[in-house]
Amino acid sequence: MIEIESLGLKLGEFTLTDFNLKIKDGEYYVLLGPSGVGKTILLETIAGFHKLRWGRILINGTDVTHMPPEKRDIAFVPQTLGLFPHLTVEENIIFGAKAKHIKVKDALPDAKRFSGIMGISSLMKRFPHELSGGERQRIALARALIIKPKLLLLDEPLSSVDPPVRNQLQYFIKELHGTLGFTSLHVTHDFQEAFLLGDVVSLLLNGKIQQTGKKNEIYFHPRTRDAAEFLGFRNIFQGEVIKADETKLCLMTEGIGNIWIERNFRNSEITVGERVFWGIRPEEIRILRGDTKSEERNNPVSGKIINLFEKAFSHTLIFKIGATDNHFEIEIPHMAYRKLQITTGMAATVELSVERIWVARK
Amino acid sequence: MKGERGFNFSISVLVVLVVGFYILLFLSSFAIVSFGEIKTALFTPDIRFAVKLSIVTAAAVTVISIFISVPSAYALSRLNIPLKGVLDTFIDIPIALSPVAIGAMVLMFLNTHTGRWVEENVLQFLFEIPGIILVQAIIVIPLSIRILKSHFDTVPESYELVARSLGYSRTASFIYVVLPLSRNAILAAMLTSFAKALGEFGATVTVAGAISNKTQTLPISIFLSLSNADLNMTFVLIMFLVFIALLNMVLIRALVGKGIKYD
Repeated sequence: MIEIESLGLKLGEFTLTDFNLKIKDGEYYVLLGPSGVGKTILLETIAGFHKLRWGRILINGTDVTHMPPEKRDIAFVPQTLGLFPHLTVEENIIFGAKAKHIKVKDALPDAKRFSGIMGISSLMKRFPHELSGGERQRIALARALIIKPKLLLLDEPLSSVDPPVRNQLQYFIKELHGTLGFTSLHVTHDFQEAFLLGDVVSLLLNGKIQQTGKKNEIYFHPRTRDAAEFLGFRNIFQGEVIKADETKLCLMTEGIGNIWIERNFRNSEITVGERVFWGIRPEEIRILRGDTKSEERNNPVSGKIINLFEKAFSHTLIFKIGATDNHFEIEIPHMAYRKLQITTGMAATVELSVERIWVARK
Repeated sequence: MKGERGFNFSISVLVVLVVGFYILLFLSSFAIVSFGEIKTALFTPDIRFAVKLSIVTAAAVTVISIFISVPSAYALSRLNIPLKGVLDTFIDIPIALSPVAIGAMVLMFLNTHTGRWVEENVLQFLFEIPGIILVQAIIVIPLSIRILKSHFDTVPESYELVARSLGYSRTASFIYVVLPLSRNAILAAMLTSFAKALGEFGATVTVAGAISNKTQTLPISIFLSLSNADLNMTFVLIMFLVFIALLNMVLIRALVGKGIKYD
């Protein structure tokens, strides 16, 4: 178990206060946040490269706060990977063994095993500059994992590779974690990467963790407007709670009307009369067919489609709500687009799923 | 397009003129020497002594310089030491100063209480070979630090962070990561130091004098032979310096071309 308690840090302009984190053994923990919020500095601090102002870091109950990096048993993979350019792949992989005074001939069987797992056995005599981005990633991971660290820190490790290779590597890391079961703290600004890899995801915004939880919880139920915006929610509105019972809340929004949402543990403290933000993801808005019975409709909103954009995997529709200036952005798969025969200027009714609307206190 | 061609032509002519001037300067030495007598001059004991002394002192200066400048440059590049900016500026001063001024300062220091004590109890510098090494080192070390600091600034710190997280101490990561990555820069700094020390005249003559067969380095020999209007001897000495300088430059260019690419 890795525990970071009330960590405080000031480095130049960057300040972080009261930062807490708990990572269970074998857990893949992802810290998600936009560029420039100090994710790298945070990782470097956990690795021992910056002094803490406050707080402490515990690894399996041992306080490592004042230990030098080499004594912490934490492997660090920087964004640039830091593969030593003057060493071959094999020498890079066994580099950590030398620090532990393990002879090269004793370290080689382990290197061979890891290179097999990583699919890099044929590259052992090559130099880093002769390799592709994906191969370099695998070698950096092998070099870090071979020392069997108590925690693996990954700083945006996939940011410098092209999208197709990035996807392959994401699947590879997911499988690798399943096989080896290492404990990892991975920082990224890419929320799709975070949700693919993370057992647990924390959202770091404005120097604070805004929310921690299982990926679906964060993806569909952000707790603040900032979090929602960062996670790509583009349909965000303000409303007032006008009714509340044990199962539902009713929000009144100017120009849209009454919207019903599910009452649950996330919004149990919200009371009638409160002003709130609410929203829904573009892919969670459904266009209703004309024959849908009125009693089967959830939060129906009428309007017309005023613009549409064809993208690689979906269509984005801009839906003007009634006679107001408010819009919904709707994402639909190509198949649904063709089936519904959508055109610009078409009048339509859309449905906002009661379970998929998030609400946050203002 | 016409303007671009004119510009390119003008700057090309300028560079040809500059290099042509240096070649003319070099060739002019050939015009006024007697080649029959050069052969004799080449094997005089004075020349042999000057060459030997220059190479030995320049080599000693190079070794001393590299042992001091590698850690100093690394400290200036990586550490947040107090008054780092002031230290950095002060290191540049000997580069900007006239060598005679540096020699005069060393001379004045050796005339203080401390300087006299050092002369009497530690090592004699005034008009001695250690004096040559001392002043040349004073001139060469800042240059070497400047070259190496520029190099260390370009080596990403992430290599050291990775090494430390893999179990290497600060010293071990310096030895096993930074030094191997800096091999070419260190060699380039050594060659530059050697060339600079070999050609140094002003400070050397001020502190060590121009004593025949004792402190007579190659540049001092050039000065003395020119004073005696011995052009053949001067020519031979110049050719020695030109040959060593050329060799140095070729090696430095080769090393710079083979730089390691970092992430």
